[in-house]
Parts: sequence; structure tokens; C-alpha cells
Amino acid sequence: MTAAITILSSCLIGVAIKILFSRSTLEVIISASVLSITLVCLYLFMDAPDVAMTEAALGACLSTVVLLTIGSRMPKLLTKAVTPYLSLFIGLLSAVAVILMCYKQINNYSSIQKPVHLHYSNKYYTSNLKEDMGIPAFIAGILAGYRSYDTLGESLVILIAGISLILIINPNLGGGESGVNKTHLKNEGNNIDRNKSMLSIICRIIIPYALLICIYIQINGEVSPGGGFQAGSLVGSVFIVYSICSRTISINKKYLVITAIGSVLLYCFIGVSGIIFGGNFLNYGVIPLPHSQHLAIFIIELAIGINVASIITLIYLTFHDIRKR
Amino acid sequence: MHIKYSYPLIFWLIITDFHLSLISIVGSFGALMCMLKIIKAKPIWPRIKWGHLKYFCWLIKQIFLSSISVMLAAWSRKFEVESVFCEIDIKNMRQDLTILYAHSITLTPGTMTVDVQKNHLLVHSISLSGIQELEEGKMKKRIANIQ
Repeated sequence: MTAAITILSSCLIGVAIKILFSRSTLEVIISASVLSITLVCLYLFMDAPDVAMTEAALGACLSTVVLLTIGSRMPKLLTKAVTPYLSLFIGLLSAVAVILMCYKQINNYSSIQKPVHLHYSNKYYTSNLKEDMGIPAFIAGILAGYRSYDTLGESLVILIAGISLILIINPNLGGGESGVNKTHLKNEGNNIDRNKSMLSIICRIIIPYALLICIYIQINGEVSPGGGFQAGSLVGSVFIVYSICSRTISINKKYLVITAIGSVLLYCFIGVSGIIFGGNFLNYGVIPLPHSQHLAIFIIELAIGINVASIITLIYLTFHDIRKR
Repeated sequence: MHIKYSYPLIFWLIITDFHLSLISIVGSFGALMCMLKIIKAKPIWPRIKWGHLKYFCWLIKQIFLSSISVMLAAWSRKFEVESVFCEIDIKNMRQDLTILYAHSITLTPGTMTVDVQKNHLLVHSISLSGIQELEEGKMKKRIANIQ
């Protein structure tokens, strides 16, 4: 295990050096994608499968696709990156010097006797989670139970990011019907583009199983690693892969915005129902239903999943539309 | 109903450790169908036969052999890349077998399918011998034997 982590970490350093000395933007984007895949393996070896899933969906899929879309629209002068060797050398040298100076202080960063690990809230979470929330998974319990205010804020941030992106890229959103326009990619041939048949047939075989894994991660979020964020980002990346390999996808962007807003409203509704039954905001324990905590956490994870999936698809489709224009 | 429609169910049972609960099975398949409907995907449920498995074992052996030969060539001092493009004939081949053929060529190190045309595959190789092996048609015969 330690050997694998060491090998992967040295691979990371190698890829980082490769990115520094690469000659064109395309090379940088592809190397960054390789870096992200290496990180996924590293997270898996370090027992963090949920972080690995998110990294694969967001780092390797979404950001690579969006960067490639932007890179294909850049003027040719910009796409040729010139490496300033002297300043690079000076910068690297100063970074190494700073790290060497800080080395003694970050020595025991992960030691179990650090104040972060001795704080009373951690002990409270680990000993009382099962009684308070009724679910065995710590991350889901903390994310949707103890810290549900933070999670509400996070899903709002994702929603605002998606909507502001569409407002910036499509400036005439408020100006009538043409604002949220329908993304309809051209339908070449009957259903399979012959040149892309290698990709598209394999995708059509794999997609149902990939979606089944997404559903599994979503509905088992309270008992195993995973949950709304992971499942949502995986569903979004499946949509992106499908729309790359076959040009017949047509999703109305208006519906995506509606589902994203609706899921955040669902989250708030669960929170308000705590007030209705005489508790605090987002206190689901007072709802008079059997296993109310478990049920509320399940619905909240579902809302987060729908929110993340629709925003990721929205971001991809928005950038895809610029390329078409 | 053909057995091929049960592949998703088998897959679902494997990833859930055979926890049979009617609600989760029905709900997940309903959600799957909804998502396939939303993206208008027309999924393919391939029929897996005994011949496919036999071909797969042979392919793994070929991948090992050719990766060893490519590695030896790359480490030797007199290595010169003879970049060759070649068209491989695929007339009268079913579409699924064509895709299998193209992916097998890409999976064996040294050769790569660049394009799939109506009557031929465009294949790139780093050495002449790789192309010669392909033109002998061992792989093509094995693929034709599957059906």
C-alpha cells in the first residue's frame, strides 16, 4: 500500500513537471487530465472513494471538456505557450527554499495529538451519530445532519454559479424568448455517425451500467461512502460523455434551470417543515414520521444530487453553445 | 424475453451484494429508464456468447505478447519508428464485429485504429511487422468465427 502511494505521488510530481515544460495549451490540458486521473488512484489507495469519484467526474471529465472547448476558441498566438525557463527556475528555487524553511513546523501535521483531532466536537460526532441521526455513515450524517446549514449554502453556491454563468454567456436572457434557447445539436445521419461509431457504440453499451452505479451511489449515500454530490457529478459526466459521442442529445436548458432551483427549494422545504412541527430550521427529528431523520437525509441527498447534475450539464451545454456560434 | 435484458439486473445484484429488496430494484430501474429517456439514449444490450469469451482470452494473450515486443523494441538502441498507415479491408462484416475488430487493433500496443470507413479501417502502426501481422488476418478470422 505504502509503495503504491509512493509510486503514485512520484508520478504526480513527474506530471506536474511535464505541465510546467509543455509547449502547447493542448498538451497542458491533457497533462492536467492525466494528473487528475493519478489523483483519483491516490485517493482510492488512501481510503477516500467518495473524493475519488468527485475528482474523476469534475477534474478529469468536466474541467477537461470545458478547457478543451475554450482552448479550441483561443487565437493561435495564445495556444503556443512559451516556457520562461529563467523565471521558472527562480520561482521553483524559492518555493523549495520556503518549503525547507517550513519543514520543521509542518513535521507532525497529521499527528493525532494536534488540536484539530482533539476538539470535543469530533468526539461528540463519533460517539453520538447513530443515536442522533439514525444512520451509520459519518460523512452523510455530518453533511446532511449536523452541518446541514453549510450544505444548504453549498448547494446555493452551485446554483448561483450555474445561473450566473448562463447570465454572463447568454446576455439576452431577460430579453424575451431567445434567452434560454434550446440546445439542439445537429442530427447527422440516422443515429450513428460512421466516423464516431467506435466511440458511440461502446458508449451506448456502457451508459446504462454507469447510470446504475450513479443510482446505487445516490440511494446508498446514508450507509456507505457517496451521496448527493458524488452521484450528481457522475450523472452530469455521463450526460457529457453521451453528448460528445452521439450528436443526437437535446436537452432544454430551461428545464435544467428549473430542476436546479426546484431541488434547492425542496431542501428548504425540508428545513421549514422542522419549524412547522415546532422545532428549529433543519431540525428533522421533530417531524412525526417513523425514521424521520433517515427519510429527511435521504431527500436532502436526492435534492443535492439533482442540483449538482443539472448544474454540471448546464455548464457543459452553455460552453458547447459558444463553440457552435 | 431474451436473456440479454437481464444484464442490468445481474449487474445491480452484484453491486448491491445480493440484497434483494423489491423497492430498491423497481425504483432504480425506473430511475434508469427515466434517465435513458431524458438523454434519448438508445442503449445496446449485446448478446455475449461462448465465442466472445474465447476470443477475449486470445486477445489478452496477444496484448501481452505485443506489449513485450514493443517494450523490447523501445529499449533497444537501434530503434527506429517506421510510421505506417494502412487500410484494412472489412467488407461484408457486421457492424458490431467491425467495432470489436477496431477496438482490438487499438488495444494491442503498436497499432491503432484511426478511422472507421464503410469498407475499410484506417490503421496506424509504429512498425512494418505490425501491419504485416494484421494483413495475415489471424485476428479477423477469429472475429469471424465468433458468430
